[in-house]
Amino acid sequence: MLWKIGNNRELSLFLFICLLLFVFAVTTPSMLAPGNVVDLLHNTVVICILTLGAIIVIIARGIDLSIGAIMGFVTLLVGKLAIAGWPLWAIILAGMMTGIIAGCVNGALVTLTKLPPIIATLGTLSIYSGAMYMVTEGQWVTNLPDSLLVLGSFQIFGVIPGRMAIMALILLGTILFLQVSVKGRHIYAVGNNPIATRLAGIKEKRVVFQTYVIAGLLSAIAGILYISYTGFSTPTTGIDMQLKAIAAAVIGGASVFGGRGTPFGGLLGSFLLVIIASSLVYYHLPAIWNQAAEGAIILIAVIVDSILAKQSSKKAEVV
Amino acid sequence: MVRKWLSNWTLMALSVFLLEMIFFSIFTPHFLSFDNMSTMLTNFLVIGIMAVSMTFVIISGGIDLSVGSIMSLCGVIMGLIWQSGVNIWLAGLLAIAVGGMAGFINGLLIVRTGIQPLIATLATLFIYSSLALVIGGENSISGFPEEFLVLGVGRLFGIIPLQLLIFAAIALFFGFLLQKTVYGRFVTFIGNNEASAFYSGVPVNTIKIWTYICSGLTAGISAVILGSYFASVRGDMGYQYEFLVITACLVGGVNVFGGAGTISGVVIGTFILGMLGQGLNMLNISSVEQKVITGVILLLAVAIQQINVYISRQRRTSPPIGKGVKSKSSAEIDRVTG
Repeated sequence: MLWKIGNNRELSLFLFICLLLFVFAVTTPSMLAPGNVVDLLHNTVVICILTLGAIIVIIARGIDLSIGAIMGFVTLLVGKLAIAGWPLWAIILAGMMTGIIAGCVNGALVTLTKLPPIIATLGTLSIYSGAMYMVTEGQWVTNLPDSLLVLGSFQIFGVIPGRMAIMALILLGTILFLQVSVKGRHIYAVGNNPIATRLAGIKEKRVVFQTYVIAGLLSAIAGILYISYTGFSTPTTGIDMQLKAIAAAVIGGASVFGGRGTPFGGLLGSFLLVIIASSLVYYHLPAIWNQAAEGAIILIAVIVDSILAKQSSKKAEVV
Repeated sequence: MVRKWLSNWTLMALSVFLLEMIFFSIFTPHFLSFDNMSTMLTNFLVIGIMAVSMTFVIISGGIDLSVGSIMSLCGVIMGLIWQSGVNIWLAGLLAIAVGGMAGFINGLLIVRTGIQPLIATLATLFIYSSLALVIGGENSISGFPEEFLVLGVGRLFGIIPLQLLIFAAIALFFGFLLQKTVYGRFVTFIGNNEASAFYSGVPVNTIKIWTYICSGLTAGISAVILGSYFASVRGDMGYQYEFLVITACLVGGVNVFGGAGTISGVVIGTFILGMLGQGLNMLNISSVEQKVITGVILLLAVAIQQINVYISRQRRTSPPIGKGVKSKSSAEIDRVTG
């Protein structure tokens, strides 16, 4: 029984989060007041969407270090366009196109030039984040018009925050895409065994290319949702977000060896990061402990993974 | 001819370096002046010190993202130990030892649990940098004694920067270790084929752990030198240094998949990057635009490497024997394909 729970990452992570929330509820009840819970969910939106992009790339045995920079670049671009008076639909379209183009660059570098993904996206990371400074000349983007801010604050039926609904839709779409559609199964296939996939007649490189494009698109959406909620953006926005997203993906069960990981696990992983970051505030710990907590959780997640993998291979041998 | 030159990475890096030097000496005044050269050296040699030991990590098939954080941690620890009244040199040595310990933890994690080095050192990157900020606070520690500052800015006979001597000693040591010792050959072996190294009786785990310990030790040394150069240490002094160090390695021709690389290449790679930074500064190009240029150079370097690998594989596998061609002498094949 315990064994099964341990092997099912989503379930064990879910139980762990419940346990944490229970501990918080007992020790610092104010953290779980309704208003604060809504805040927690609000904070999850951006990191969750970024994590979904990171997961899709990781499943296909890649890694994308540039998603934070793409997100940051889109926030600045979108802010500038809104100030210039563009209508909302045009802003969203432009932002998403930017993400897709940046993703195409990553994908082309990885598939056409055979650069290792970590190097290719490390290179584009510095290019995109340099572009952020060039767009704004180091200035903040503030004083946004209401036309953009409405995207961050609108509510469906006057109750459900719109950006959470958007996140839920994207999550649902990713689940359907990855776990039901043929294209999504191709991504898992490439991650599990690229050579066998190629021999099975699937255009492996095209699949890898697509994962980077999707990651670019999702980071652009995350960027649009970020700036429409916070109302400002700086040239350092998103600077370390890719590391957080990859961390959330790994915590959620994605394996950097490829072929494993689910969107729902990504949601749980990012939610775990968010509740830990905000719990520090309630326990009056300095925010700089946040990174240490994140690092420790990544380590725990991957170590548990490797122990389980060892045990299951032992079991297989016995059978 | 061109292909031979392209496939010898060190030679090509050297020519890029010379071209760069010519370019900057034409477009900026006094670039080749003695003062400028020696200032330039002291700006980036710490990156080279970490890069030569990172070379071992990458050759053995790993990667160490945590060097920047280890550097911050060591710097802060040196400052705190000194503040508590210990001799500064002893504090520096202790800090270097802490760097070695941090590297040991990295290595142990990777070897014992089988976590991918990328993820393990990403996690320790978070942990070490957070620790550095927690124990160091937000303010910098400064006021080191005069004789300690010599390490960063001093010159032997008033000419040769001490930093350069330290770098040369470390680079020679690691170059010797890589080329002339059993340890170095084993590292290359592991990078080429870990399984066969294991079955040949190579102590794979011990050797891998030692590559990470060396990486941590050099991060500690860099922290001491940088602390002396800036005359202060801070909890974020090593922020994002890991990217520069890895870039220096890759520009220096170390294969990112492991198994190949030379210390001489990495030394030249470091100098290419360092000279680029200084030259662009003198051309009044902002640090942000420099970042973009560094990124492009990184991509170019690795792309050319991959093309080389591709070409050499093509040559090995497919001599053009086919329709209407009965046989060709190897000289002819060479002429056709090369």
